[in-house]
Amino acid sequence: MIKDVARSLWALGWMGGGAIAAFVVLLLVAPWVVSPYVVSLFMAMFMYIVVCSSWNIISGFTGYVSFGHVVFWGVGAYVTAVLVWKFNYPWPLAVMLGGVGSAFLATIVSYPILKLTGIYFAISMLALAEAIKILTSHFRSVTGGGGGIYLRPMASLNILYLMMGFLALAVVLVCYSITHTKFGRSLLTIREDETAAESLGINITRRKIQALILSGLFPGIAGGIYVMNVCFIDPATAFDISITVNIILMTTFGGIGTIIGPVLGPVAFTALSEFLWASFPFLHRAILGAILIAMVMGMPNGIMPFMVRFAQWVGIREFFSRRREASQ
Amino acid sequence: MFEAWVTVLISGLAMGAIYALVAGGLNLTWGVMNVVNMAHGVFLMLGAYITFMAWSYWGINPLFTIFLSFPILFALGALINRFLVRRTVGLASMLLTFGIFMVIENLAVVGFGGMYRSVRFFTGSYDIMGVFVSKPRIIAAGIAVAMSLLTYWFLKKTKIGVAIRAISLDRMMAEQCGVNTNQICTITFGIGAAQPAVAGSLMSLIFAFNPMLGRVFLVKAFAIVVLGGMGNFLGALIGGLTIGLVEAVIAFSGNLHLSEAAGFIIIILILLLRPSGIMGRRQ
Amino acid sequence: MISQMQQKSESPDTKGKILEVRGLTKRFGGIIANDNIDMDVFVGEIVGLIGPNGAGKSTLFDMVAGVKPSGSKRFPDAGCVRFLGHDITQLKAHQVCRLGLARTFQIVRILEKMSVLENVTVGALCRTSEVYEAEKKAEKICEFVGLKDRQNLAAGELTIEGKKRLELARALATEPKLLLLDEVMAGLNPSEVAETLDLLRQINKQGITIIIVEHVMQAVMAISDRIVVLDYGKKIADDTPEAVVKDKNVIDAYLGSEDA
Ligand SMILES: Nc1ncnc2c1ncn2[C@@H]1O[C@H](COP(=O)(O)OP(=O)(O)OP(=O)(O)O)[C@@H](O)[C@H]1O
Ligand SMILES: [Mg+2]
Repeated sequence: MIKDVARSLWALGWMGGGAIAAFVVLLLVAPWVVSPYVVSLFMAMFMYIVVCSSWNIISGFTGYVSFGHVVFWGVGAYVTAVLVWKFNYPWPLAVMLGGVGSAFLATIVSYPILKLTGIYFAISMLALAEAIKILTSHFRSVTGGGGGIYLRPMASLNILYLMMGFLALAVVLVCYSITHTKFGRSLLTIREDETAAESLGINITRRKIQALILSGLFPGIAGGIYVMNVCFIDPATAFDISITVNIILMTTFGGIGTIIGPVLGPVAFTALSEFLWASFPFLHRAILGAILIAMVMGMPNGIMPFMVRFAQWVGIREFFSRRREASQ
Repeated sequence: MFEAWVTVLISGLAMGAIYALVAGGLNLTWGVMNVVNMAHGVFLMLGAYITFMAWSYWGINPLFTIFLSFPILFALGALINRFLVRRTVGLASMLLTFGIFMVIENLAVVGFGGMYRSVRFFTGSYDIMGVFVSKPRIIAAGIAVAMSLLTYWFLKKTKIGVAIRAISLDRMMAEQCGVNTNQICTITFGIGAAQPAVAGSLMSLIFAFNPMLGRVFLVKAFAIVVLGGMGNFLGALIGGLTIGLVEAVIAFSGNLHLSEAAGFIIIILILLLRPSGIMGRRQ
Repeated sequence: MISQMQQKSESPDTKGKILEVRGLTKRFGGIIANDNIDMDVFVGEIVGLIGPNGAGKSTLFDMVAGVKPSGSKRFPDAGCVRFLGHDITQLKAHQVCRLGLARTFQIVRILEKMSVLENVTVGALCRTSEVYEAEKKAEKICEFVGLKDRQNLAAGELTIEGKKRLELARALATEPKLLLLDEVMAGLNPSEVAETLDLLRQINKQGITIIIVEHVMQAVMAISDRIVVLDYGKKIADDTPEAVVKDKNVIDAYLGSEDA
């Protein structure tokens, strides 16, 4: 497995390595060049890259569409907030433990919930998120209840931004490497046909559980970083179904089940959403809804097929123009 | 103490009857068309606003407003099905209808404003031998049950109802037998939108509400459908009553939040313990 | 019973049993798909498993291989299955596969969106954890079954003949000791059938025991050392091909009606 990962990273080549290096340089330079507002915009974008890529592991690669993925993000945020607020943990440790917390939640729910498929899995994830939202409001002494938790600012924006940026890079690389390993191949096989997968020696139960845990881990860390930045969390924000829908919307737009999709989607939508906020402050949710509708109706496979078709179209035109030149 | 418990049970059942009506619509589209309608919450909210507007602007008796909310939302549902939903099923339909949810909710916030409204028409409660039952609840529940039974009768006895059930059993077969499935599905989705709307009209008699009203029922309605058995038309009624009751009892024991969570915990438990029973209806 | 004992004494391969099925029973609601089936398979044999439609052949494969039939429990209602001395009755498909029992599906279950080579690689990953190694092995197997020139196509683009071949290749890639083939020749033209028979003989020569379900009668008769006949879930014959075609029960149940 390690050999496969090494080989896949090697296969990135000069182009891939260069792109990563360029990303790191831009990441490091940006805070000195752009305003804090843009930095926090980038940070939101990286956060969505993390959660979308993670969602993509269980829903894109494995085919179990989760309608409640916000729960892992929210639990991570809450674990971090509570550890810092109640127990005075150093915040970087609390952020990491946020990931542990969400991965733990994924572990306990995974076995029973992954017995369900299709819509039933989707709905029980949705119900899980709602149930945890309510339980969080209920256990006031631990979670601060419906009023939420306010934290004293501890970490600077730039540090958190860098953490989120590197986390995004790491998650994307993990997703990329996964597809080149036995684990990733098993997930793709499960997505296509569970019976066939099992008959080919794949322990589907175990693989699905691993996928869900991995898919729950990173959003938890992202939630922790998020909460350290905004210094406030309440159940309505932490378990907001709109975040799940954003995740699905962005990933589907970028291309579900691909590596680049969950990167492309957040990049496009952060820009779009910013524009919508600015131009239609009261209607931006309706517009996002309309985009969602349009996407389901018009391009269920995301933007990629369009781009491919566009490239082909351009290619064909070139071909014809060359032919015309030749015949003249 | 005994009277207090009876009061709790009755108000729980009353709420359950209204839940059942919401879930009935969801159940119908899910069982018949394999469309998981995430927009039922906003249909409900629209029903509540129709009642509020008709009552406050034209002074119409709120009970009669269900004769407005039903046809209006039936038409809206039919249109939505005709132009959008018809072409999608399963998970795609979940996303699509959530998009519809976002659009309608947002437009409602813009149109109606975010403040709470209420229809204070029936007030007070009946005192039957020390048992207090709130008037709006009991009236709303009565209408909700009547409406559920009416739908049940419609599905069992009318020609359209039989066609709807035929499609839920085997769409291809129904088509082969000359059922115009597109038309019937449009009717089904219309009813699936109108039923929650009536529930919303009734609910406006009981609670204050704002355009976010639908959110509360987003998942709860699924809980009821899953509890009663997907595609089981009477199941929704029983599931609704059960959840209403469970919530009321837990709330009475002093645990408001947990009573809210009850629905979600039930949905998870049911799906985990009896998935085969529920999945049995999948093709 | 008698035919079974005869067969034991006559069998060229009494080296050892690879598969032992005892009293296997599987019900689907009211239907008894497998009714108290006893069956032995010896190392190195090619056994044909035949019977009319709905006789329970595929179900028997499911039960042996630990595959869950849709809408039913995974395991048999009664009886047991032993494979190479292990009791595999309660094992799941992936465990059985690891022990060295591979199967193909009557209704092909190829991974349509993956390439042919990737399909076979998934099979090969049963024995290694390195994708790279698995790919190398998969290439060899593609060549062996004659899919080399098509190995980069999306599996969904293959013809039915290609898909059947791919299922065979993928099963082979798991390095089985026993191969259960469910109608790998259905829908093939005569020359393709002949090719497949050749391939199966080669596989068998490498020491892989084969049980083959097939409706193409000439093909099974030609390749099998022994034939087991099912009818309405019961085993009605178990003998050499020559003896089976003369068996009255078999003619009544199956062969006769086929000729008519
Ligand atoms: N998953 C299932 N659920 C219910 N009944 C089933 C299931 N699978 C098979 N059956 C029934 O069990 C009986 C045996 O089926 P099986 O597929 O094993 O027959 P077969 O011998 O493979 O037939 P064929 O030659 O058509 O492939 C049939 O009557 C079939 O209808
Ligand atoms: Mg068969």
